[in-house]
Amino acid sequence: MNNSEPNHKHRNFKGQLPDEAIVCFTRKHWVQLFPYIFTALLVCVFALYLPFLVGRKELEPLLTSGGFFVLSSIIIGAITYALHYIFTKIFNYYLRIILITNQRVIDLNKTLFINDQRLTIMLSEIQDISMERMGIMQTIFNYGTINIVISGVTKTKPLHRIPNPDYHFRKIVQARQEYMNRLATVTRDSAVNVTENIYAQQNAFRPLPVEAPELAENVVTRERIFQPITTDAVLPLQ
Amino acid sequence: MLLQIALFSIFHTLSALFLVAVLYRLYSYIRRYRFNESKYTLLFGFVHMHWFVWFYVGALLVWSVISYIIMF
Repeated sequence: MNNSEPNHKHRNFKGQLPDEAIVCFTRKHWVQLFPYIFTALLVCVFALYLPFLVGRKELEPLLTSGGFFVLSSIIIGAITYALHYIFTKIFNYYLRIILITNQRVIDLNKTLFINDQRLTIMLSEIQDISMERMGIMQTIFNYGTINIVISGVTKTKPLHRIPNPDYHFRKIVQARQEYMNRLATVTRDSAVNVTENIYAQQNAFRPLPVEAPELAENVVTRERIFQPITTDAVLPLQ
Repeated sequence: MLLQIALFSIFHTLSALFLVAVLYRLYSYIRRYRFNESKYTLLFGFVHMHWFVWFYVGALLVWSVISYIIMF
């Protein structure tokens, strides 16, 4: 294996940056699945009741041998489709993830077969964040919307049906604050480094004074900076 | 009778193939996206995705038995 290839073993998700760490992640609230769960229950009840329904005397005139075959085929096909549809929706629920890392907020909208969307908002691009939890349902089941205003385009990206929105709102604010502090530290350090480099370069290429050659010993030159230490210059240990 | 058997076989073969495709896609996703689940990230706070996988397989098996009873 080539050593220059990045090591993907310790990555948590596809597209994770080398120095990126996950602060927290969440899925949408289960309220989103409510229609599918309700449909699944109806389908199960209907499927379990079907053998008893077919055996009823009242339906016998309707169910001739050909009619029964067609009807049973349609019902079996429909319920099989419904079962797959509901479970696929439930698995899609598990694949939809919102990640808060130390560099960005990522909305992974992936489904099993069709969709693969990723929305990334860099923490430095976030201008404003707001959280709203409105209505009885949202208050009882503790979910809401987090609105992220992106600077530059002044566009709002709403994250709907986020469970425990207070917690995730705080996490985004906290991650953004830490990111900005880190960015400020890096900028300050790099500014100091640039100043030191400019100072060193100026000293390295300073011409020797012509008028007073006896002062030339005190001028720091590139050769003097990188002069190797000789054994004579090392003081003996006491 | 032969037509019934053929139709029953086609329905459930397609169903099983779809099940395999879903599980393949799902586990290839799980391999790529590794997160530490907690009670805040699971469905209803405690339902793991693997439980639904078993429930999915079980539901289809039960349904194939029920549909056999209905059709024959």
